Amino acid sequence: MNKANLSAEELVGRWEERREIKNLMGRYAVSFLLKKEASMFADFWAAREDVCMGLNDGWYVGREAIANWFAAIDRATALKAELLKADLPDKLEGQDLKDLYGIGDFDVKPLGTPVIELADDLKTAKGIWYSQGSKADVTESGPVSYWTFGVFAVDFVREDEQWKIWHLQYLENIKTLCGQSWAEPEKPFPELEAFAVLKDLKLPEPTEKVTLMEYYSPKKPMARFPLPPVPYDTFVNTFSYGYEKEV
Amino acid sequence: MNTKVFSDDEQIRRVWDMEEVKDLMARRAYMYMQDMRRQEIEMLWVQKPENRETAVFGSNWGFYLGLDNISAWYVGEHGNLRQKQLDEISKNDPAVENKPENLGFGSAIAAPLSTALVEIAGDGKTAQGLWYSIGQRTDPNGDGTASAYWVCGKIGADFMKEDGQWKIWRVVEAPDIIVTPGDAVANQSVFWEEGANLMENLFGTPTVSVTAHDPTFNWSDDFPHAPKAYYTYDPKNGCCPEGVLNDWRPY
Repeated sequence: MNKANLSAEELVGRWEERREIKNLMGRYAVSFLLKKEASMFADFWAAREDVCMGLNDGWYVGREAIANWFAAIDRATALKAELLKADLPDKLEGQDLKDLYGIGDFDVKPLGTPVIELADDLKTAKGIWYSQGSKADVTESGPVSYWTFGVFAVDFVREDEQWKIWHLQYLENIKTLCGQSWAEPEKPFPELEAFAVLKDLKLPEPTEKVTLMEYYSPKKPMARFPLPPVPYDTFVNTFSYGYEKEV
Repeated sequence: MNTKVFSDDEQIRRVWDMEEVKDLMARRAYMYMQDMRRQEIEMLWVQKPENRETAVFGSNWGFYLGLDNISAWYVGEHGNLRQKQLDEISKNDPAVENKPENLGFGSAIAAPLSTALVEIAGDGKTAQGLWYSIGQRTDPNGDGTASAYWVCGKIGADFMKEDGQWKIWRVVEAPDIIVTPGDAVANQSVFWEEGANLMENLFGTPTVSVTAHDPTFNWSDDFPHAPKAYYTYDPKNGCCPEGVLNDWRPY
């Protein structure tokens, strides 16, 4: 599409669409920070069946798989609050577990370096963001903090006049304990009895288990991230950030 | 510039120009992350002969002038470094094949962008931008280990329109902080010993050697410049040798 041929009104309209997409992803990132996993799938994802989410270890394909992933995080967050309450009785005794939901966890995924393309037909859009984040988590070693570097690559679709997430990849190539170097082997903290139950806490396995991204190691090839979107007219004429079954 | 009145149509086109300039620099960041340096030069930088001649790539220690010189260093010397690293890795670990697909083995690099500050010239022919980048550079040592650094600093750029498309014309990457992960920034050397500054070593031998940005004592000069509203491009405010500020240094 040659923008020189678009009217001022059309250009304003397309600029507004970009703003909405940026805000959608901004809200998505802030929702991790605010521990809103219980509602994130309903709030941001498309209602269609062919949604998918790619993480380092594979693809969550379909609504049920993604909803289960968010629900597992929700349950884990509740469990961590329970464990911290038991571990810090002098500070947290008497507090309602509902009020403590989310303590100990601080999942910051700030978004930068955006590249966004709207389809000429305005039915879909694509975007990529770099996220240099940090995650304070509660683990079998108690509370620990990581640096997390990764990329969000997302296809959006319009549903009921709103942009929604259709396909999303979030791939991290660096997750390293704060105070340590990602170039060196991780020096884990000792396990703590009070948090031992978290050792067995696992998120649901991906529907399609395939390595989409490996964490950085001096003994591995350079990470290959998804590439930025390119201008396109309609979705079938561009590449997808979604799961494509190998045939 | 402040007195120029734009029509509604001109104003929205200028808003889109800003979006396109920001997208262009973001595309560069993703290519940089994956060592796609040749593609970056061919796809994102100016290509008209007169603009190639005046293209600039600068850093704290000077400037490469002209796209051919930029390419020889940015693509050529970087490629040689990656080949040397792979030669060493393969020699020490024959399981790692010495083949082009393995160039970059054991390395990671990122210069993500935030804090965008973009000005479109009143005449619409050029644009200037400044970003802050909290990035990292990790290179293999050849023996199965690697050296990692946080690399943080301003990235400035001047842009030019070629056939209706914004292209990168001049870039200055000006690192302020180069420190190993896990070390306090306060432990960074005030004065680097000769040959010890990773980014200076990687910058090679520029066409013009000059101290363009000097973060000694964390004294932050305004180069590359935070762009101000302007009508037509003035190299004194540009990402080029003429833009270097020389009157601020306290020593």
